[in-house]
Amino acid sequence: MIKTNIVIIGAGPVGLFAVFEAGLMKLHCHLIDSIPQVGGQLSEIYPNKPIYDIPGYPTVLAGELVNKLMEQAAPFKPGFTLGERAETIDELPNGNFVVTTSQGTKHEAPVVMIAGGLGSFEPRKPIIKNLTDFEQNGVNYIVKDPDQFRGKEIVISGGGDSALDWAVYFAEKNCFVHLVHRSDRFRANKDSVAKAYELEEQDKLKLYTFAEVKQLGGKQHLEKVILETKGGTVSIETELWFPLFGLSPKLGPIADWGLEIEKNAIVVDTFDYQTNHSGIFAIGDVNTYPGKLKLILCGFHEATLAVQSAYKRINPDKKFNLKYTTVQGVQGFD
Amino acid sequence: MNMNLMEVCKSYDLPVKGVCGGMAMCASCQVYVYKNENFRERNDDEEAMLDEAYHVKSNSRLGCQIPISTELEGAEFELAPEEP
Repeated sequence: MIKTNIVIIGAGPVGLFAVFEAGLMKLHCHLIDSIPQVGGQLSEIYPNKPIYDIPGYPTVLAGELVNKLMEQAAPFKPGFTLGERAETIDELPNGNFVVTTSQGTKHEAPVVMIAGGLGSFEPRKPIIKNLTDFEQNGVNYIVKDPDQFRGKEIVISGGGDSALDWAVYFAEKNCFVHLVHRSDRFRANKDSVAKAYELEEQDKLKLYTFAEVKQLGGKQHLEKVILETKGGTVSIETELWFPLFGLSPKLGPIADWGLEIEKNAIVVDTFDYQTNHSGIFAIGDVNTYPGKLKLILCGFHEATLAVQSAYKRINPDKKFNLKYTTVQGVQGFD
Repeated sequence: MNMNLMEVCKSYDLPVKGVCGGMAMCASCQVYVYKNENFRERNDDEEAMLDEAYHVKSNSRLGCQIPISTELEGAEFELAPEEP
């Protein structure tokens, strides 16, 4: 059981800044995120886009902002459970909460802050009849432990960075890769696309454009994929298909936690951004209230106020005196 | 006010998610265009995103890439089904 002062669900910019504000009040945090990296929408959707409305930064690249927030939070040594989705929140008799993830990892804390943004990023799945029969049985939406696939014949679908990067990676590691895409234009980085064409010339990869996987075949496990191409139907024998069409956010389990939900967001009290359940807060894009703006800077403000109430819940008998950082500096945890 | 079609839909509370905020990085603002379809061509980002979207038809466009202007006169738009 991981124990901490505050479990933060979502390691995007607002979750990360909450670590800093909590740390100033000597509260330790542990963050959970369903994707294997921090940064939320900034890292997942637009890492190279400039943001112009972060106070103090006329312009900052989204990915750079995430790095800065990690640097700011570092003195307070946050814990991370990444690549696992928060599935349930249970309340203990002592008033603490246990947040359990999709992999069964448990986290106990007196306070939970949901900084879930638009929801957890879930893989975009193709529309194929018997798809669920083969999930985890040959069809994978995320590549984990790539070494286990060395030397195999792999089919990858998609035109974005994920599909191209993995196609190139596997082709260079003794796999034969079939890369399938619906058109001949790719969203991916031009260098990755050029590399894929190069690997095709070296017979390490085969590119199918204007093609789409339409059917899957196999008994217990995937045995083949069937493509529709301009030239007709093509069948490829393979035990592995990676549909890498990117991720899209879904509210998911958050909707089932007994919180008040309105338009896919959690209703909060603007006094301290607490939900209808004492001890559970919602900050950033995931919350809603009259006048709410889904801006990162608003999330930063909400995190700061929420942390004040968190402190009072954890230390009911202590008085808190707001000290400016210019006075007290930043005293990290040892 | 320099709005695009996605923003207009959202301001009228139509069920358009606009997940990426208008960067042509999701396809949750997909629309089908009828009548006066040729007001402007799809840009590269729009093409690339529609290549990976669901329920795409030949008259699909991304609402966030369509600025509201007089060039849309006479066009009719239908919201694409939500992504699964």
